[in-house]
Amino acid sequence: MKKTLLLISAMLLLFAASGMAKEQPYPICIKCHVKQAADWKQSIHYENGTYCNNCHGGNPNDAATAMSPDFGFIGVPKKKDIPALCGKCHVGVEKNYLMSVHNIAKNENGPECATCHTYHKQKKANISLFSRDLCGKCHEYDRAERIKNAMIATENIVGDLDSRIDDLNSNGYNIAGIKSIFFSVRNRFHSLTHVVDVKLIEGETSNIQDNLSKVDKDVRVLEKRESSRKKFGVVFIGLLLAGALAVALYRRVL
Amino acid sequence: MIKKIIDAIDERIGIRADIKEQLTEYMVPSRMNFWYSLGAVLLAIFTIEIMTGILLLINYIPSVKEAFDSVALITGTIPFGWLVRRVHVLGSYLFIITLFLHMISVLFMGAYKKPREIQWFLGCMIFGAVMFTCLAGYLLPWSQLSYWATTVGTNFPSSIPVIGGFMVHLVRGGELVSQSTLSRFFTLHVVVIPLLLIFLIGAHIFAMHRTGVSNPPWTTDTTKIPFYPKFFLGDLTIIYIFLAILFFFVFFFPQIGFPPDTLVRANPLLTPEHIKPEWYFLGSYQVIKIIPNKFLGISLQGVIVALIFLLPVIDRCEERRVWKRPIFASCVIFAVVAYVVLTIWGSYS
Ligand code: HEC
Ligand code: HEC
Ligand code: HEC
Ligand code: HEC
Ligand code: HEC
Repeated sequence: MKKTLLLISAMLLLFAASGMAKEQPYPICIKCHVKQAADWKQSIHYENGTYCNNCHGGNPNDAATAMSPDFGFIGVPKKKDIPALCGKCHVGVEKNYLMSVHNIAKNENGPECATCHTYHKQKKANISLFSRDLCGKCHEYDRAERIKNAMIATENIVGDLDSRIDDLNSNGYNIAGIKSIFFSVRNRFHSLTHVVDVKLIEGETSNIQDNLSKVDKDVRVLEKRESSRKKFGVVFIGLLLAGALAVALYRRVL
Repeated sequence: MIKKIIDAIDERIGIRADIKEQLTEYMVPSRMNFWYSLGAVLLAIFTIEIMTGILLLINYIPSVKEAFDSVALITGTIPFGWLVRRVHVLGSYLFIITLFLHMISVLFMGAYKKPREIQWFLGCMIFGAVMFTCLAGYLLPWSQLSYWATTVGTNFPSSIPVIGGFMVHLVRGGELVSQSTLSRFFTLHVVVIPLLLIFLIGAHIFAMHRTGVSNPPWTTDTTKIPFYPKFFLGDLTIIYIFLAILFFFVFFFPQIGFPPDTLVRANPLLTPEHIKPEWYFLGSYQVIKIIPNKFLGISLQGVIVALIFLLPVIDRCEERRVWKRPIFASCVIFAVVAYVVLTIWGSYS
């Protein structure tokens, strides 16, 4: 059940991403809202074609109706509405967030998405977000630290695999299959964060690491192939140069 | 045994005498150097491109639905497919670089002058045909880069008044880059242009045999010696070295031929962030970008191409030594530097 939900959420996200990334002119909003636009341009949403109107509604093409409720403009979302707003696209994350003690609907002192991710400058998320500054703001940091420690080993594996897959990719290997498995495992892992439940995280960790080690195996196969190609290359280039040398010498003595 | 067969053939159609006359004992200037070997290098690379091309053709499917997967099959599953593809792609780069070097050396040595104008014309046509076949080949893998670089590349003529739109339509076989474009480019890339190239290269070499190889301008020594063995071995050495360079990149830096967008299937709805044509068109692309009027930019380049092509007709003085022709030399140097600068500029902007 959980898996299907996560799968569906991942698919929805992909669908949303591919639908939105269509060529779209910059929203007109940025003409007037220069400060917000500057923040937004540093965000991962900007890179992936999520525009002002995807969050705030409104008409991105026309100044007169830009902020008209007829075009679904919602103004500044209220704090308690933000999880649902972000959850439109980040379905799995929202689900986990709602399960957590942080859920702002259950606990009005809890953080909502933008408390931790900012509301216009969302970056690619990683474990460095668990900082004393952020997590120590509302309660002692040590409970945050326990979660961080539970996740850090897996996080390192994820980071390592990520860069190795990128390397293979840039060497021309077809890694589409590996990548999609890796992404779904990684998303499952990252979405655990939002439950902020150490026991649950520790329980899931071994399962996730198993999946990651399967990905690692596939990556290793390709890496081995690449290194034997390189060895073959050294020999081959050596032969060509030896050929050049032999011919040049032969020409000399002729 | 083999000797007997050859003897028998020779007795009937006399090949030995021809080979002797045309190849092994063909007389060439005794003072030729490295620059004279580039023609042989080009011939070797051309042969490699044809052979690897044929191997790729076995598994490639020229349809928008299957092209990308068939290329993935070649690089991922077919034994040594990855190698064949890398050699074909990076070989085309080396082909163009060597063509540039060959042309520049001919310019500096004044070798295009009478009686070798025809070689120059044929050489220019070869260059054009190679550029075009590269453009066409670029589309075939049907990756994001293929699709968008071709969209940009085939858009060049659009700014020509009156017929521009029609020309773009003709090249693409429709409004957008699509299956018709792929079919056309496929036919051009694997049949039409290679045949044309074989013909042009044959004519180029034939003309060279008729006029003889130009004597190096830096010497008054005009003695001639047979091509074989001295220059044959010299050419072979240079070919080996060029191949070593090619394979160095094939094994250690294949990425230069496969930027990230080549690994993603073409998606007509998703424009990648930086769309750029192949590096050898970047200079030309940059000129069009910096000249505010597109038509002016294209005309200017048309004029430059015409000037280069007609060079032997325009420049008729007999002096071949470049140090006696400072204006001409500075023009060539300026043109080369300008091209390099525009290319680098184009790749960073
Ligand atoms: C013509 C200039 C202009 C354009 C275009 C424009 N806005 Fe605004 N917007 C303003 C001004 C001025 C205010 C401040 C009005 C206020 O505080 O009531 C504002 C306020 C807002 C607010 C805060 C509303 C509140 O209740 O405080 C949001 C959110 C907003 N705009 C979003 C957008 C979005 C999204 C777009 C594009 C779809 C957009 N704007 C386009 C000028 C513009
Ligand atoms: C990922 C969703 C998202 C996107 C994209 C987004 N916003 Fe916002 N925006 C929010 C949220 C959430 C808030 C409310 C923050 C808070 O709690 O005060 C907000 C607040 C605002 C406000 C009022 C608060 C302020 O900053 O003064 C304005 C104005 C605004 N956004 C404009 C824009 C404009 C213009 C763009 C496009 C350049 C944009 N937003 C893109 C989510 C988004
Ligand atoms: C209209 C859909 C949409 C909405 C609404 C939206 N996002 Fe996103 N978000 C995306 C897309 C698309 C990406 C980039 C794809 C990815 O990396 O998952 C993304 C990426 C992110 C990332 C980085 C994910 C990573 O891989 O590290 C964070 C963090 C994020 N969003 C937070 C938010 C927050 C907080 C809100 C609400 C204020 C929000 N998003 C609202 C579509 C949306
Ligand atoms: C208590 C702070 C906090 C809150 C509240 C929070 N996040 Fe996160 N979020 C994080 C941290 C920390 C990470 C990085 C997790 C990691 O690297 O393991 C993260 C990761 C993410 C990611 C990337 C991982 C993935 O699954 O793709 C997205 C998207 C995201 N958050 C969206 C949201 C949304 C939407 C909300 C609101 C429903 C939200 N976050 C609420 C701290 C928070
Ligand atoms: C906006 C304030 C706020 C921020 C910021 C915040 N929390 Fe919390 N957190 C709460 C509240 C409120 C509770 C529930 C009441 C309590 O236990 O104190 C809570 C509870 C927790 C718990 C206890 C869960 C349990 O089952 O006992 C953990 C663990 C936790 N937070 C981790 C984090 C982490 C990690 C961060 C930083 C990424 C963070 N929090 C940031 C407000 C916040």
